Amino acid sequence: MRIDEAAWASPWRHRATGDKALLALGMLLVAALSTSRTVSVLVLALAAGVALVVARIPARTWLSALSAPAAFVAVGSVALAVTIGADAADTLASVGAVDITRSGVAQAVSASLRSFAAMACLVLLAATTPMTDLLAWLRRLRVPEAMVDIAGLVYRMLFALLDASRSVREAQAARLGYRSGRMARRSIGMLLGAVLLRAWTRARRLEDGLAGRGYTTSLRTLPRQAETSPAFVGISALVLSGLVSLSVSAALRGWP
Amino acid sequence: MHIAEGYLPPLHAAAWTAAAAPFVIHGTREVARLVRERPGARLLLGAAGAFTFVLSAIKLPSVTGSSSHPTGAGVGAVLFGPPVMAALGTVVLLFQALLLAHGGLTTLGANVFSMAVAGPWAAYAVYRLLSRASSGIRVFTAVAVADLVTYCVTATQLALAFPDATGGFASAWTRFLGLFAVTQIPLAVVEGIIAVLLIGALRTWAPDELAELGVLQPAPQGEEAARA
Repeated sequence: MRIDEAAWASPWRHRATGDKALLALGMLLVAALSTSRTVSVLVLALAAGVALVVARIPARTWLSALSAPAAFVAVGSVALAVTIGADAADTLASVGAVDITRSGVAQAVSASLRSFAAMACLVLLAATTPMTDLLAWLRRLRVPEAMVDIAGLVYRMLFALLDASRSVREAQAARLGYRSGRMARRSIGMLLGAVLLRAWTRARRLEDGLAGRGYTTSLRTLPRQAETSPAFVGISALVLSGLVSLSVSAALRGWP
Repeated sequence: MHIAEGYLPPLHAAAWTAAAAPFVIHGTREVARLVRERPGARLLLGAAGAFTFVLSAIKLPSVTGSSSHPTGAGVGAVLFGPPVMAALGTVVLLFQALLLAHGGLTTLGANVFSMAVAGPWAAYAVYRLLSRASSGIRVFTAVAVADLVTYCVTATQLALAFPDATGGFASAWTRFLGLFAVTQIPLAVVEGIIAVLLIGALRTWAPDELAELGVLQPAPQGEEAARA
């Protein structure tokens, strides 16, 4: 959970969530809506610059987050680039019956670039804003109370359960529980059973403790009030309008 | 298999979000109703969501040597029911996007549709249809079908977004199906086996909780006495 650690340690931690969301989600929207590769590359470069230089997200965290979808993008690109029985005019190279087409490669490059650009924008938000701030923001945006509450509980229990599953797995491995495929499957079944049971017990104990204190509505904490920074919003708006006008002119003039 | 952030063209991303929305809204209503009736259910639902996240973060040793992550859709549908799974699955997918950079916000709708709607409902239908079969076969089939349906829906989403220049949708669809089959078919089998072992483990450790969820009939008197 490198992203979560980066978010809590971020220099942007005390900026208003709305400010950061405006910049990151605005850029994400431009990246997702644009059909031009030029715009994708520009958004990717800009998001990388802001993330690494201004918001000082650790480079290793940023790289590992950005490469998380790499396997999917690679397989998807292969599927897009190759075909069987393509037009000769469109064929770049052939391996047996499989043809690599020019249009397919172009499509794969566009989709991959768009994906990495959008990912960079998402990471800019996720690695500067802790989940609790994001949930408080969603609550202000009138996302149903019950869902925000449950999401908050999931976040609260997540780390304890991940720790538990890690230590159970270590104990199983020390007892040769992962020596063969058959034993590994058995171990994982037992591991998940233990984790679910632990989650349950924990929830029930929390419930008993809270019921004794008159808990009926939601588990709220006082959010830290962060002031909107006019300078930050102004610069974000400037950057976004620049990107939007570039994207529009790219679409009108038919840039690649 | 999560579709990466920004990978789908905007219109497709919006259309899948619209397709998933009614199921998620229905699930959210169901969750809100559960919580209103039984305030304690809130904590159990939180635990279920956290469990689904941990489940999907575990690396499975696969038959073909490739490692992949379980989706948790099938087990979740059997344990908690598909409407609740639509709501919890959305929360879990959002967390995976924000904490692990798996999936994304623009593709959240498409991923919710394949993993939190289609998979769980298919699992639930199979689980219901096989009500006469032994529990092991029911759980295995339900979980394996959930994974296979999820994988087919994902391939469909990608093929609709990127149809082949010459062969159209069908050609692109078979290609995506074929490429993802390498990891997804072994995953369905392995996740099915593990789900059977998981339910088996819960049956010995937590029969009361399972009965409360409606997965297991309460043990008859005789068996209870024999255990005591």
